[in-house]
Amino acid sequence: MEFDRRSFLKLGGAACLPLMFPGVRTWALDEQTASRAALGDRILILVELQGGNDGLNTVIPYRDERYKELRPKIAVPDSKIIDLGNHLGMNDALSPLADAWEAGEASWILGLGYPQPNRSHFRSIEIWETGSDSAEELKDGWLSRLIQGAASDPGRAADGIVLGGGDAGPFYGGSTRVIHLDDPVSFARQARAVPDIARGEDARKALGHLLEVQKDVKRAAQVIEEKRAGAPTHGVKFPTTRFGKRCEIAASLVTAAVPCPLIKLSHGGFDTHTDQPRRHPRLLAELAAGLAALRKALMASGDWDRVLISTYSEFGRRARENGNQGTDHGTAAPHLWMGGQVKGGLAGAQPDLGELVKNDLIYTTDYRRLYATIEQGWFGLEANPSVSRGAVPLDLLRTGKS
Amino acid sequence: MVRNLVLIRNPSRPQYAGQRYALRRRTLAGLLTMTSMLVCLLMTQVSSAQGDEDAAAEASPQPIGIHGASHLLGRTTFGAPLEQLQMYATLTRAEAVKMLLGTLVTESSTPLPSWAKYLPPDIAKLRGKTEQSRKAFQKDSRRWRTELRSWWTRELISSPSPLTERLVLMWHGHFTSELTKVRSSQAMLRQNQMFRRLGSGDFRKLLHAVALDPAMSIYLDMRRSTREKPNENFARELLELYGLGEGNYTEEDIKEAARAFTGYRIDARRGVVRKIQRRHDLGEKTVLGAKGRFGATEVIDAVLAHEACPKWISRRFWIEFVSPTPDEEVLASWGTHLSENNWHLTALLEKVLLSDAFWSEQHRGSLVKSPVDLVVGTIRRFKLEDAPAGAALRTISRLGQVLFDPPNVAGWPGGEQWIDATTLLGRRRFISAELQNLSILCLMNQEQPLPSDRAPAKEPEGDSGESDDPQMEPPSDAAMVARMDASKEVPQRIKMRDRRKYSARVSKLTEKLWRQLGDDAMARNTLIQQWLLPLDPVGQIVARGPIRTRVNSVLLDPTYQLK
Repeated sequence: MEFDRRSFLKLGGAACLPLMFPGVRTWALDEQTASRAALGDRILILVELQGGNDGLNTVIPYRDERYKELRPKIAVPDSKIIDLGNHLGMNDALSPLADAWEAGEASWILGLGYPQPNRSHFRSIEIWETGSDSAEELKDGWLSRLIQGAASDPGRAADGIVLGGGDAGPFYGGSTRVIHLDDPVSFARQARAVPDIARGEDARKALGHLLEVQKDVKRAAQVIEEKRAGAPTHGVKFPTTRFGKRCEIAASLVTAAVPCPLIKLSHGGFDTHTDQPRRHPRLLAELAAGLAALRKALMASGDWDRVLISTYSEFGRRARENGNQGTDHGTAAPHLWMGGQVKGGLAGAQPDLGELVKNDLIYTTDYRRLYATIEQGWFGLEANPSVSRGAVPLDLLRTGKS
Repeated sequence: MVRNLVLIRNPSRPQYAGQRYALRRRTLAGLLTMTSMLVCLLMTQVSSAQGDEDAAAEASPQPIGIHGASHLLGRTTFGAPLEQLQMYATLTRAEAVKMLLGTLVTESSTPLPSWAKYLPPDIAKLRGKTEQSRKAFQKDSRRWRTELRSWWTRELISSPSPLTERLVLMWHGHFTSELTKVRSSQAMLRQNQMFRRLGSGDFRKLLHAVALDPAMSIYLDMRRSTREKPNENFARELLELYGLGEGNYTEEDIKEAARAFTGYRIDARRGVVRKIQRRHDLGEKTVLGAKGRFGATEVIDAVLAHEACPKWISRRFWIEFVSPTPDEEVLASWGTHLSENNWHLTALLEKVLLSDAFWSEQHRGSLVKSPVDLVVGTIRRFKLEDAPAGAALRTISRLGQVLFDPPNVAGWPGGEQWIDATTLLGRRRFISAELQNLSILCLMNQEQPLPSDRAPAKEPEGDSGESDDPQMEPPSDAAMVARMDASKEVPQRIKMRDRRKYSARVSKLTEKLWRQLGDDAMARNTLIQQWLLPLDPVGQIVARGPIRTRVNSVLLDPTYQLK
């Protein structure tokens, strides 16, 4: 067996991993030595809920009377709630996820947020996607920094694939290779005609970007084509919604073993300032139907154990409803994790409706603890301060990376 | 490639620049071979020989040349045909900018769609009460949306003042509204006309008009804001994106400003925004340090009085016209210039276009062409104005810029974000395939006009993507584009027979253009590259074979995606 740095760390250095001592903040090693571990074949699928999902009508503190007081017009009625225990319930628009919940493969992580919350869509999604503090501006996406810190793998189709619109977000920046695609077949055909041009010395930034994308396109198309050529079909029927189609393409990439550790899907329309009782359940239902089909397909192909699905959004919405049967921009919210290795159930703590600041929830769990869990628990990398920012991982996975 | 080689002062004196250039070359050669004494002597002789010409050149600066004209017109007008470029090439910077600013207009030239005049009562009547009439209305309003986009595309393509359209597009991306949320084609059209009317005039008037614009009132929920429950949406964006930029206001300013914007409603009969006193918060507010019983007007005045405002607007101009990375010092001086010139936006634009930053070689090719730049610019460069607007519109949308539907309130992020794997391939396809189709359609249209751009379009039945939801996902993606594809205003496929017939004619026209570039192979290559590319090409430019292949090799060079 090759005795490399990583196995050394596993044997001797494991005890210093924060994973073992939750609550202890450690920069395990400096950036240089902590890097360069391989990501293996594990995949993270991020689902961005664009516009700010209303957490309180997603995972609902329905036993708390203050919930209905804050939301006289838009509270989800008890008859439309699936009980999750702990005085919480899930909006029954999410019922397609009940299977995963009962199988213990879905987890709601409650009260995610950060101090001094920013209520601007653009700024707050930037904070989530770069992993920054409220007042700090970081340029690169947090996963781009994770990719830079891990061993690069020339065999990859890309570091990240963004499906069906939306920007690169958490993958953006550095030399991270990101491709966007709507349809893998036409993508491959058109990529063949693109010439190979090396980036010159005096290239402008914009030109450099263009040439990089050209190169990435060619490489990605080649790998995707090869892998998909001999891939089995999963036979699962996906919803025909936009989001359902995106899930279907994600499934086709994973089941064909296209080497790419990061996939991002987006699901839009969550900025429910008005008419929420009608709009929000529909968005949740589309989300749940897409993810349920994705789970089914990945279980059938035997890939479910190597996939982690995580939602995120710029913010939750204000606890107190507005005058238009909607909610304004708020703060903390729960997010969903799913996967064969996910420890199902509720994690973190539900924010207290009795302790609001300007009608907004106070977060209970720093969102970067999710990132630390992905970094260390899921991808098996050492804690890197530029990725997880010193946050402590949560106990959300059955096993660490094997 | 030697830039600024073609210094044609005047088309009737094409020899002049070449002669002077040759003279200087000889002077330099002389320097190398003669003693210093002789050199001095010679130089005196040469300069006296050139005499008046040199003095004139110093007094009035050099003409901008093809390279300069290509830069100026590429940045300000999407792109221009060769003749126009050659005319501008003979002008100095000041002359060229003066001529360009002289083209500004305040009205559109494309006739308005027939439904443009409808006010809310007309629409209520059209909608009717029965299920049948409602269904018919839904169909109509979907058609209006497509026609609205086609109308503006037509204007972008054939307006005699592309600079005006450039500014309208800039303001549309600055004072954003999304048709998907606003849902009224009429209101969006009026907003678009407002940008045309006020977009090159007094900025103060523009900002006041934006606050009372019906589309904006719908888009940022002002029409729902009451004194009991003020809605912060417009107040926030006014400070964050429209007027000042982050860091120049507090959350408290937003809350207070929101109170001032309560009670503004759209007058259903006249389609304008009015203040309803009993819904308006009459109390005292403190916004940006100013205090009073403010309404919309006073808050806008407070924003205009803030020192960050003119600089913020200058930033928008820099990003639009100069480069992605503003120079803060220059912005400050432009801001001062704007406020000292009665907020006249044309004065600011003149300042920008005459600035060293604008002309700096370092900034050439530093901006990525937007889909509108690419498609409209290509059409205008090759004089394909008679191509159907619908065809251009489809490509622009597919490449990620759905007119009247920017992705969010911050507008199109632009720059490098225009180019990802999908849009890169789409841009290449536009040049290698769709451009030929556009050319054929253009010729067919000239010969036998196709149904007008605004002819009633057939809509698909039972479209599940359509909903009456005002805040659906921004439709920069497939579903929306597919819906627009459904409009049958242009034949989707060109018949084989027509393709053969017109392809031959397109080739002839391309050859004619080629001859226009001159007989000398070297000069021709220089000229076509200076005309079309902001930088030296990085790929292989084909020098042999069919002319279309040679032209396409220039257009397919990655630098054509830049400006």
